[in-house]
Amino acid sequence: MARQIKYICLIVALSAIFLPSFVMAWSFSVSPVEVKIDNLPPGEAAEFNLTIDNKDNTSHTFILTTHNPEESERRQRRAEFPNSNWVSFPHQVEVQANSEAEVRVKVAIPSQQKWAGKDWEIWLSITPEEKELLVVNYYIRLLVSTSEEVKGGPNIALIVGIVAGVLLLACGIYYFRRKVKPRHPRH
Amino acid sequence: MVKLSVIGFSHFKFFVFLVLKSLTNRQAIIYYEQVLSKLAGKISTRIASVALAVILALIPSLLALAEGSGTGTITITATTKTVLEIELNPPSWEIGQVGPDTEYKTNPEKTWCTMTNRGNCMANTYIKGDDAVWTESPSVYKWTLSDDGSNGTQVYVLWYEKADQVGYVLISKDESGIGSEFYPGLGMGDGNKKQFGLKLKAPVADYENYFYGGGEMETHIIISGVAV
Repeated sequence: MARQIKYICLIVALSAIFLPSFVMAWSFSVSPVEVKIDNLPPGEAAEFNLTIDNKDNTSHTFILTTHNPEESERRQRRAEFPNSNWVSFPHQVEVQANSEAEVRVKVAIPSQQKWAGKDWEIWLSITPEEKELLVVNYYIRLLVSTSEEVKGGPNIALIVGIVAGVLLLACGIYYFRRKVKPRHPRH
Repeated sequence: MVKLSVIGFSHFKFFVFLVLKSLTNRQAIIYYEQVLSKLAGKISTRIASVALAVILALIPSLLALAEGSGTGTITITATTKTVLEIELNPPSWEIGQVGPDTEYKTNPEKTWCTMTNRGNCMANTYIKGDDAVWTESPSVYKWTLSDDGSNGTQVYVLWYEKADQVGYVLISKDESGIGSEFYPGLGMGDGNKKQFGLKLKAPVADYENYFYGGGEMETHIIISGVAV
């Protein structure tokens, strides 16, 4: 008898409500669906804008992340993007009701020869923060091709050489001009 | 011109002096100092200033040279007119109270949700599920989404069934991926809309880790879209 009561209590306890709130359908859109950056030299950066259009009557916050797609999902001859930290953007964007918001995305490749002449693909994911049971998530294809040329930082050795040369020249002139100055006669 | 000749001659004299006389370094330096002192006396301050000014003027160009030169042009191609928009109607399922080890289906069973591509490009769509969590305290109690179609203690199951196909398909979690292929190459507009239904099986009775009746469980089914 005690066991039966326990079981009945458990059934009541396990009864759960799967969010019964009534929610109207709403949608949002993103544009463009694909961004292609060509001839980007390692050591340089490229920037572009994404547009999120909130078609709801209330404002929504959208979460932006990166995703490395599987080889079968990537464009042909595109390799996995080496480091998602090279793509920077705001990770949360609030878009007012029936409005659009632009999101600035920056792709910066480190200045190393090994990143030259590559073709990569990474996806940007955009999803609403407030979620219903069914959630729509968009992926923007970002295709990045680097150039063979590597954009280096300033050549420190050359700069030091120039500065040293100028200093040496100035000191030399000063030194020898002092030497040739006639001494004041002693009285 | 005369001055340049004098400079050239003096250097030559110094060179010959070093080679032929085989003097010690100290003597050579003293001699060279004497020669340069004479030269410095001959070069006017004006010439030295002009030389210094020329070098200073060249520094910015040399610095630019030091930074390396780029000949390529970065090209960014993004057709701003391409739009991705997928509409799901309805987005939520009013399932109500659920009991242990029981199956629930959407009503209508196979045409409950309509998915329409409102954008202007074809999209590949993917589907994946998530664990169901107790909304009041997600870290305290959750139901893990089954990956083999069988429910268990704190393990629940989700399926979908397409209107144009027979049989339910398991919805799995695929935490790091984009999910299973749902509708590949989804065309635009109402003419290409797709319909599907859902099925849920609750966990079996749990004698140890239960939550209080009336508690809300929340889960998500993520439908992703990417341009073909």
